[in-house]
Amino acid sequence: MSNILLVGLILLLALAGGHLVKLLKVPEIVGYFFIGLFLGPSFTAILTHDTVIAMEVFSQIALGLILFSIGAIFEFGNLRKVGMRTLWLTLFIMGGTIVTVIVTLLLCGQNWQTALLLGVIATEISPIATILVLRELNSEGPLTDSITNLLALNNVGCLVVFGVAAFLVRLLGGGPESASFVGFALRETFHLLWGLLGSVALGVVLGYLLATWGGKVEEQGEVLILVLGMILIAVGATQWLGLSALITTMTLGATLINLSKESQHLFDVLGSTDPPLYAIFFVLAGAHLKLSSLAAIGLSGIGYTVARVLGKTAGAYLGAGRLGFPETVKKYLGFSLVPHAGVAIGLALQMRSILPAYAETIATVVLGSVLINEVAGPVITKLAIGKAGEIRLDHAEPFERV
Amino acid sequence: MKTTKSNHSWKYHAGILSFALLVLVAGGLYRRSLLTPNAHSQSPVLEALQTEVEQLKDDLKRDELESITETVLETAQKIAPAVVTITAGQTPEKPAGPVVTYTDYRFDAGYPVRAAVDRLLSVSGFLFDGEGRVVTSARVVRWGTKFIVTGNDRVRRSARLLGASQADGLAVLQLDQLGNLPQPLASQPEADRQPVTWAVKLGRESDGNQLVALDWFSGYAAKPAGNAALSLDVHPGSAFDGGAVVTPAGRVIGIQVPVAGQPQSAILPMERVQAIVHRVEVDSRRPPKSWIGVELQNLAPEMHDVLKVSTGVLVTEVTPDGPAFRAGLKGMDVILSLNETPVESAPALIALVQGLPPGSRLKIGVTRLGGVREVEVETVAYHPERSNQAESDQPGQPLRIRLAKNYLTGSGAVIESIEPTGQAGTASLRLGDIVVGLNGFPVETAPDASRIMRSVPSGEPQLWLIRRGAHTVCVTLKEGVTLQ
Repeated sequence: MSNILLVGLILLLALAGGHLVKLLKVPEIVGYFFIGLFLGPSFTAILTHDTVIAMEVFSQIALGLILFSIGAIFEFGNLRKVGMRTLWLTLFIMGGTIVTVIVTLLLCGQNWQTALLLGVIATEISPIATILVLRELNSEGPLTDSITNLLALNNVGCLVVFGVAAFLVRLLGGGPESASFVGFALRETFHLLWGLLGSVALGVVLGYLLATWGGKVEEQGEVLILVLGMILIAVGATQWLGLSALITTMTLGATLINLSKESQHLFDVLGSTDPPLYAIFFVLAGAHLKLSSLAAIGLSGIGYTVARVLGKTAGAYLGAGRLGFPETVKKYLGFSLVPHAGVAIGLALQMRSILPAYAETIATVVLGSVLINEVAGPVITKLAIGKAGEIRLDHAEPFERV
Repeated sequence: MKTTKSNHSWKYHAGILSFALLVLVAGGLYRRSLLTPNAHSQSPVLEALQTEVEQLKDDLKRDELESITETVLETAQKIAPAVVTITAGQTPEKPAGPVVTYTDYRFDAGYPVRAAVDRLLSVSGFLFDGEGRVVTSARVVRWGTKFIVTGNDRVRRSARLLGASQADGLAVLQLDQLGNLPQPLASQPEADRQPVTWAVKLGRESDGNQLVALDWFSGYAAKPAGNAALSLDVHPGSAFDGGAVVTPAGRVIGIQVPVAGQPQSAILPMERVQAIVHRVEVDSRRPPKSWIGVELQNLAPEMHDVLKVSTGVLVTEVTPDGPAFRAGLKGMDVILSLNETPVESAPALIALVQGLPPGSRLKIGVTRLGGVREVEVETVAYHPERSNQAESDQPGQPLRIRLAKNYLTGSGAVIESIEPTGQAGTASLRLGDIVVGLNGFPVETAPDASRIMRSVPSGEPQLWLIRRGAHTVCVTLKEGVTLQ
């Protein structure tokens, strides 16, 4: 089947799937995800591994777009308002997750290296799934604000801690016999720093470019071209330079919002055009996963999935309580952060090249857990936001405009 | 900046921007230096192979690969029952095969750690016909004459050596019991003979696990008419040696055999395998003949000056541990006399030795670059597996030789195919030989050889300088040779 035909099919089926699950009061991205599972190798195999890979570019663009808009959270004014408190809350939640998952996995009989790496991967929260649920519900309130503020910090934190953890495991697990220790440590440190500082630097440079150029472009269509082009350049350049697309696109958004008065229209213009990309993103995410990975998940996988949610809720409860967040945040923030996908899969797959000894276990656990979370995560997030009373009844249905 | 909403000066922005650019440039450059492999860290062999692999990757038609993957798996399943692993041993219960201790890398905490690993030496092979004949790599000859053959059913069967052709790298074993054998590969139906671009290699490891590999015959097209092709296998002890080579659709093309002295393996075509099995079977029924373990060649006039002799027969190869070897004969020796009778030609000498009963003592007069000495050799009974000659007495036909670039050491040209195949023995040229000189001119690349060849009037004998393993051999070809 031609890829263009497939894209059309994906979009329309996603729309239908989204509507269907909405009848069950389930977020529509879960519907997209089910359509993906249905089209994927587990059922009809219309989307083969090859086509999924070929369409990967859509997913990368979608991820770039969502992170670009998350970057706007780092507006200095906003940061001053929420900055330190949110940072501490993030640390509480990440710490809670890491500790709970590590302890659970050690109890399940995993070695410390696997437990540590999985503990760190567990801190990841799918930004795209979470943000799309918020958008669908058009929610507003302290919980929604906390989630958006937290997502950015949390995922940067996850990447940093993952870098450090992988570094530790490689260091303590014994490096290669012949290579000099100093050279090894130096190289590892460089990779860690490059992934962080290089990504930020790239985002800053492109952000300046976008802000300067954006000030000269008025017409809506042209603005769209400019923003989209810059995000694509950012994502593409990170692949070329071995940087983190996540941090770069986020920094791009953050730089832009802090530089340009008129930057808000650059963000707004995306809002009406990106839904098809997100639909494709989730259908592909579904097609990526195999139902069989659910069967392979095992005790550790179940432990991981449960401990992750427990860790997040416990961390959020304790942290929000101590830091004086509103009651709704304290109660429901942890549950809103359950979605787990993209970056986690990326990290799990990355293990194959950087720490192959643990890659199999980690990939099995993460893929199985992601499958559960892709379905349960958005539903739980929606329930949590509903309980917190932040759903606006007059919420717009973005897809009815498509 | 017109639209700037912060009140910072342009210096502030310039500072941030330059710092970001500096981080990007410096980091990018440093990263590049990390990614570029150190020029001195690799052997030329590895580098050459990497180049080759890169080239192959470029050539690879991924779509094609995807499209045949399922067929390949089906084929692998179909052929698997006949593919066996062979270890040395007297009885099926007691594998006694040589154990090889090699340095392997095991992964510890994600990093390769060097460790010594003991492993039962094994080769692959496959059931050739319904008579219980198994063909395999000639390496097994060094392990003795009794073997254990294990198939897909994990049943261990005892077998004995029926014969071998070292020149072709092929050994033939005979299973002791014939019950419950899977379908042999020689009786697989012949499909249409399409040119082969993909070949599936099927082998079996000593632990019984099946090995499957898909090779791309880029530049080495294995011709359906049946000449050999060099494969890209770089491990001389590869468990694939002796494995079946089939087309993705399941037609058996040949068997993977080692090339003496070369790290590559070759694919011996099925036609050749059939011929060898037939000859080995005929030989195994003959009464024993005397044998001393030398490969001989008549002296060509051009060699007289080089070797400083005017008569005699050139020893081109000596079987390790054979009687001649133990008496101190070496390749490039010239045998002048046998029991004080002057030797005129190789066939005459062979006839003389074979006419004597095993255990006879021979006095052989030998010269090596001028000095004459006499050695005493006691003949032993001829075992077919020790035979180095491969149907060496066929009348001469023009040889068609194809040369390829020598990827391993860079200089010289590798003999990639010789047609007709039966004559490799006659011509003393073998697959995998590296041609380094032709009629006194050095050969650096395959085109060099063609250029020199064009200057030789047809019908004139040619003097080939060949590097084979650690030896350099001089070979005269009387037959016309066409380079392809």
